Amino acid sequence: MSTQIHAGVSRKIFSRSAVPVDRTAAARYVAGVLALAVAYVATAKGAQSLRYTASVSAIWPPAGVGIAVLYLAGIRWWPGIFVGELLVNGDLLASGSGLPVGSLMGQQAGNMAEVIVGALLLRRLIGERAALDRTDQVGGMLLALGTGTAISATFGTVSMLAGDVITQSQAATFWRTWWLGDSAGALVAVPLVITWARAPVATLRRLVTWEGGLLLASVVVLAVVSVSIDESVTYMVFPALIWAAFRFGPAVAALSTAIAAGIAIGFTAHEQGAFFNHPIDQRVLSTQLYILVAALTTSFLSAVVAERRRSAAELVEAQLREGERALEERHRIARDLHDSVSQALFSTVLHTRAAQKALARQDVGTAGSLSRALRSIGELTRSAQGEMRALIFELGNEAGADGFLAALSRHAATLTAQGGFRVDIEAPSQRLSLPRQVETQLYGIGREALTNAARHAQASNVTVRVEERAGHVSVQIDDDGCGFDPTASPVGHYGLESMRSRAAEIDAHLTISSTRGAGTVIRVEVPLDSRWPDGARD
Amino acid sequence: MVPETERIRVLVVDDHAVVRRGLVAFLESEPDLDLVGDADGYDHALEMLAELDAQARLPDVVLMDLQMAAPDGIAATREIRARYRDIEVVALTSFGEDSRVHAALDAGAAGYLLKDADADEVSAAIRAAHRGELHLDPAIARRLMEGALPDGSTAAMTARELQVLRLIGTGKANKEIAAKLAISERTARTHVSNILGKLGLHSRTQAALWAVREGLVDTAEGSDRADAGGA
Repeated sequence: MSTQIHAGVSRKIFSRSAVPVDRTAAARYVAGVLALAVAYVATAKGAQSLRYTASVSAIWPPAGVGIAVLYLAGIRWWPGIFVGELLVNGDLLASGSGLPVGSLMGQQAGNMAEVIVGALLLRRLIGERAALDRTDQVGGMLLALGTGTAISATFGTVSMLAGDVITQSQAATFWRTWWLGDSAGALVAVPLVITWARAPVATLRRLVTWEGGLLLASVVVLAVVSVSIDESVTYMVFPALIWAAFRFGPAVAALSTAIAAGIAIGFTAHEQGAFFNHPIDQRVLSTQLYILVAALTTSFLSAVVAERRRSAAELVEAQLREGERALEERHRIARDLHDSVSQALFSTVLHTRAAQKALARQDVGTAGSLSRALRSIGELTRSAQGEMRALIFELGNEAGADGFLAALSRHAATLTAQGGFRVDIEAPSQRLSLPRQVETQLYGIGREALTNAARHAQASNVTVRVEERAGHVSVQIDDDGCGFDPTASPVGHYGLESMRSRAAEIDAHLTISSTRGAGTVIRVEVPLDSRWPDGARD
Repeated sequence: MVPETERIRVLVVDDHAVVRRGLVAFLESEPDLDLVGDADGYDHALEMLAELDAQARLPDVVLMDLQMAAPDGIAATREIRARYRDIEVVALTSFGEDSRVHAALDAGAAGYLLKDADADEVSAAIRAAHRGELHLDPAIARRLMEGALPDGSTAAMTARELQVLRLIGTGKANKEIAAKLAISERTARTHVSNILGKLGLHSRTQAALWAVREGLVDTAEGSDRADAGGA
């Protein structure tokens, strides 16, 4: 009974509030569908404007755009493709292309199936929001797109055969041209859309640098050269594409491929260049293969480079973790020795002394040898205590016996071992005579700063400057990483706190200055005045 | 045998059973020390003290391990010094960090020993504390002496305060200072806290170390407290 009432109430509430929400959502959906239709038509018009002959487009990117959008936003946006396709086919019908309505309907159905199957397969094979920075993702994309475009090519060929647009003998070539055209278009469009959709601002920022400008200029120049000279020098564009893949990642690589493809088609369509010299079938095939090879090579290469970079970073991370674990383990052992063995030795010293005193009070015959034995036990225990103290000191002393600079250099060497990161240490040639506490804390601060620069700031250059003058030792660590807002609560918050407390431990003055995008400077100054008993003062 | 009334009553507090047994065995072998009990932590120690208080057998000195599960030996030292003014506490620990030494001295400890001390040093520290003197592990004392004492000045001090500071430097307790200068104990205490304020120090131990470092204490006068840090 009570359940029913409850259900009734909640339905009422739901129906009341659901209406306006539904209306907004519906409006948004319709707008999205229309936007997708417009994008589809625009891409189709662009491709049609670069037709080699009245009926053949060398590549057909609208299918790729459709697949990418449905992949990213969801299959429920399919009506956008339907409307777009309807508009394109309606236009073909109205422009008097002579294509029968039946064939156009078959073509429409095939293109719809292509986009939906392509998007579904893509989601299944490479997961959602893939970055295309792994070779298995690129392989999965190749399979999904190849399958989707084969559906469309088959539907299209059968429709055209049925409508007597082509003859039986033309069917094979027709199918191949259709399939390669859609595949080439999709292999350019899909990576372009899904990589840029992930991080458009970051990608753009990476591109708007002198190197990015130089890269784009090279892509354009080499792409033009590769297709405009009559000789077969189409490989000329590859150095630029490889550059993009190596240095800029999948998004910029996809853009470079798109530029090269556009230039190749544009030139050929305007009756120029290497491909135009071929007969028409050959001309289309050459263009398609050129674009397919360029797109595949670039996609795979950028994925391989990203994989390599990732595993290098993981290796560094693993080494750092390993080092930290070893350090923790040393400290744990030191603590354990302190808590167990040292205490037991102390107790042994006390027992031995008690036994000696008891012996002294009694007059037994064996007193001589017993007291000698007790003296030996006492001496042995004392020396074991001393050795234990030294061992614990060695285990617990982070900086090690050769000073904080040597320890810091070792840490820097671990960080730089995988490349992409450089540490310069500028320091006085002779070893600074610093108290042990200062050595330990300076090492801790320097280690933290270097690790942050490598891990969080993605710095490529770090300078460590050590100076001693006027009773002060200063250590300054500059990096050219992404910086952070020191007043906000950043990711490495704990690290900064530990640096502050380490500095406070040795009465050092610590300044951390950083701005987003402009690197970080960490400076610590230690006064070497009377407060250090065994320090530089002596 | 030392008469019972003249023996120094000692309570041992350490949560490490092995160490406790060693301390008990050793202290029982010292004829002038009377071990009144051993406790394994803060609560146990205060319970025992309340019992001993009821029997009028309060210890003269508590040997206190600092490194115990919370509340630790520093908290226990503070509590004991607050409840039983006459009990002196000698801190015993494996750690010699300056911050811990300061914390223990601030809490009112009259001595600080490391757990790798020689056995006889333990009994020496107990005797020194009973005499109202300060006994520090030699290495720690040296560090404190040369270390982080502020560079205060005696310029702002009155002649009487300087006298009091000298007596602090020889390890005298407030009562002894009061007797020596023919003033009340309360006045002596006021002088001491004024001196600490003027020097920017936290404890009379620091004041004593400061006085020795600044040469306010004659070597002859200071010799009776030569074990106060091996200075």
